[in-house]
Amino acid sequence: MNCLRYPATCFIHKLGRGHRDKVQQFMAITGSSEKAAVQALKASDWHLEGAFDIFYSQPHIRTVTDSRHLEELYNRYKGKMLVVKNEGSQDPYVDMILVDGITLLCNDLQVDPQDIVMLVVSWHMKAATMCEFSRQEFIGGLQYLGIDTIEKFRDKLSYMRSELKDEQKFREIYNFAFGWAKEKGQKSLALDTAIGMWQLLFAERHWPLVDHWCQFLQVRHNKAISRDTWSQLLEFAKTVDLQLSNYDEEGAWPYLIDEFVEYLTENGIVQRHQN
Amino acid sequence: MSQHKRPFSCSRSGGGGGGTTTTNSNSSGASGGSALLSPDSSSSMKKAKPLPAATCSLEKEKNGLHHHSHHFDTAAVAAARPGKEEDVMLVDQEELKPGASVPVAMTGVAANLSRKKATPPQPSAKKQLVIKFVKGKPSVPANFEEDTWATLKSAINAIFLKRRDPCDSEKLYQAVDDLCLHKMGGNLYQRVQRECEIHISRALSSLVGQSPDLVVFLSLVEKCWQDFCDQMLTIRGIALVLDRTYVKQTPNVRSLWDMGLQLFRKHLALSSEVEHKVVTGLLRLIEKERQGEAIDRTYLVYCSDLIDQGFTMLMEANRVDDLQRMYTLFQRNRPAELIAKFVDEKLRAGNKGTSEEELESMLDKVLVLFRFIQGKDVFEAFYKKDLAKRLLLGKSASIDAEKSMITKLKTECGSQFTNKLEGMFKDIELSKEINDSFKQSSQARTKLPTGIEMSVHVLTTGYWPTYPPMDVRLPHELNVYQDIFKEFYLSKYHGRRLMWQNSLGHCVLKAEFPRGKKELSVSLFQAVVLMLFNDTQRLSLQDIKDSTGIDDRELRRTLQSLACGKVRVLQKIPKGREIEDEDSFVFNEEFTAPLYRIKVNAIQMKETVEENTSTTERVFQDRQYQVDAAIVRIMKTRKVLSHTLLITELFQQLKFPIKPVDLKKRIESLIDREYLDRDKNNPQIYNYLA
Repeated sequence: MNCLRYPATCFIHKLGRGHRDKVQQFMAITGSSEKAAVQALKASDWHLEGAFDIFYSQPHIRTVTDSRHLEELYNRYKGKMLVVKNEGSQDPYVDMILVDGITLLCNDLQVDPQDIVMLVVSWHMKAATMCEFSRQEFIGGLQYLGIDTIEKFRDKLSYMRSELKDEQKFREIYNFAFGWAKEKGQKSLALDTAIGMWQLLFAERHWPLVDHWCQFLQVRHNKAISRDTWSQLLEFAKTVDLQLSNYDEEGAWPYLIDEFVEYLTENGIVQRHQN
Repeated sequence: MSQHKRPFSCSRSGGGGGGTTTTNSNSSGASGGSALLSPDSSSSMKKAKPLPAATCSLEKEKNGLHHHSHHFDTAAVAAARPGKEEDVMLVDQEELKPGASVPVAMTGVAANLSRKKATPPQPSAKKQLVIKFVKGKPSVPANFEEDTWATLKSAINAIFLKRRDPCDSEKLYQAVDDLCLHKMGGNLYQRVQRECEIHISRALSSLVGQSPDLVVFLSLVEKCWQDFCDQMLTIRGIALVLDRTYVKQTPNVRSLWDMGLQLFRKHLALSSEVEHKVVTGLLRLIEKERQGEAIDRTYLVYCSDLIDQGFTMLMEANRVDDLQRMYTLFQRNRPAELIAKFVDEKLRAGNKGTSEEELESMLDKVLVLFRFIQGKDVFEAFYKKDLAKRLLLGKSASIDAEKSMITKLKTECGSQFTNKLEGMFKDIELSKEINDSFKQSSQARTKLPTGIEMSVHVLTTGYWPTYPPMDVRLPHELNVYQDIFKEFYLSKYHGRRLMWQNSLGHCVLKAEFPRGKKELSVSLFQAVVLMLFNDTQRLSLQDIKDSTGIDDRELRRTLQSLACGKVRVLQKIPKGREIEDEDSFVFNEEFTAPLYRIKVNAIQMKETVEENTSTTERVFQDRQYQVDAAIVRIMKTRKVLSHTLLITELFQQLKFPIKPVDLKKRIESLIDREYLDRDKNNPQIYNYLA
């Protein structure tokens, strides 16, 4: 572990109660020293989230991870199954973390595999597909997050959960989810999977119409979901009010959303009073 | 089986071809076929018993020749005064031979007195000279006219009131005939007209005040119209002689059918309430359908009749706005299809009794309707499909009429619309030349199998509709013929590719039945199937399928036409109308028919439901491509464009009707295919992705 140099003065007793709490929180979450915590928080004007960003994005105060530990971690989870490859290929093991490994990982983290935090983890790792992590994705992601032990990983989970509260990050994670959840090689997302994802995501960021949306799709559409529809749905959930009063069907909304609005009005779910 | 005679020999045949330049054979040399028992010849009527031959008629006065026969009678002489032609229909001189007794060539009473579908017969204004037998004119009993009329009047009443009449059709026919014979046609016509008017007006005025529910009301009107058509047809059938004598000879007198139609129109229009309800009802119906509600589509079929009616009414009343509304609401494409079908019926051969002028005026009327069709590409697709059939099967009533229609369409829509259609005509003409030079060629003279005459239509792809490729294992001689023709053609035209279109081919087969020799006009598939029976007496469905290689569905259709229709060249075991998997077929030893040459290939002219659906689908698919191309074109130019502006541009550029939702779907498809994307900051704006 390299020594990090901090300013000599320690401000902690001069901090007010609220600030002290934040420092404690920061340290707990990031695993940093008190001084680093104070510095980051000061730089962000005592906003925790901003402080995290600063902390993680500044390379010289990023927690350096031990690559040996990371290797060990990866090896713990990577695929043990014998996979028959093409003739002539020697590699008996798949060099990826697959379902079994992920189950084990979740176990170690004391987290339900269905927990949305795993989506956030995958997002950080820029994972290509759900239920698997390549070596690069896993190790690279953990490095970025400054994690090299399971304990540190566990500690970071609450921070990652908190990222979902950030509008901008939520949108990124939401859009990331489309590519991650769909089948490799497919352009669109299977309806069942999409519905599952929507249920998960909109539990975090509440959208009252999510159940109607899912039902509408099963009844009227019954086909895969395009990327455009996926991304525009979030816009819809964010911008259109629950009376649909500011919805413009002449606008560029995807036709499926137009149909959803019709469905809502036809079935009396929403009494529309148009502007 | 070794003693089994080979009943079928192919005397004339044609194969079909498609492709870059495609060939299609057509036995264009088949001459003089008189259609008889073909299922779809709508104008054929059952032959009536000929009247006792008394004498043959006299020829035109101007030749100054008189012809006396054995049974010369005073009435005939009396009638043969210069200029008088009422009693006797004169005939061309060539047809007369000294002493010959000429057979009757008259058509009989309409056999179907209870016809379901209302298909009006073609207006019978074509002046045809028909030989008529002049009976010995009896002296007229007192009250002859009144008594005869009484019989007819009672019958007409019965028809309109849907009751049975004691008098049979033969007698009624006779009654009319008698009256016409004794120059009472004029009176008869007036009386019939009066009688019809009474009933038509009664029927229509009974609609006044009926059902405020427009859908119910429409069904009442439809019933009224149906009944009217049936009744007029029946009456016309009875009074056929009237149509063919008095009406023909008297200028400005409408045929009975037209007269009835005019009365119907007149009385429909008399009640503005009824008229208004009909039009509104139709509009509502269309509106409903547009919103996705299921409606009884039989209305749309009748629409083609009522369109004409309604159109005339609205035109006469100068209700252009209503007209516009009626047609803008016809966003569904059936009108285009129906109108194309209507034109096809008019231009097909077998339209006896339509004069050139009548045909022309009808086509003009169609053009006016055509102007209102929004999906003209649908019309074009159907028109093209039907024209192709007419040209390839030699079914055009008149090439002049065909060309006249094209010219009209050209004037209406510009040459781009008609280029392909004109191309089809060119192909036909060019094919004639190719066939001639083929016949002269050395290949033809030295290598062709004897006993078969074949001619070929070479079709340029792009002009003609696309035909699904249909495989078939042809008899050896036909294969040889095709190969030799191909060799000849490719030696003349390098760099082209020929593909045979077997579904369009047709043949004339010489058939030897125990009861007599016949010539059968058949489709190529029918020919191939029949020729199998040269070698065996009995074949199962599977056998036939294996030997011919014809697609299952097409094969069943073919077998049905050979074994289950009116003309049964084969017999199906077990009997029945449908083809089942376990069926077998035998050559029909018992086959007999009055005529020598028999048409069995009417199925080629019939359109299948699949054909129609696939035609429409192709048009829609094509529209999709056009929309996509337009979007890309616009976005490429503008680079960045808002949704609203893009939609506006599209509506300006696209020539067919399309809903905004369909445009959205195409935009989304292009986003998916990464031609465009939404702006990061404003999803209402699209960016062109280079």
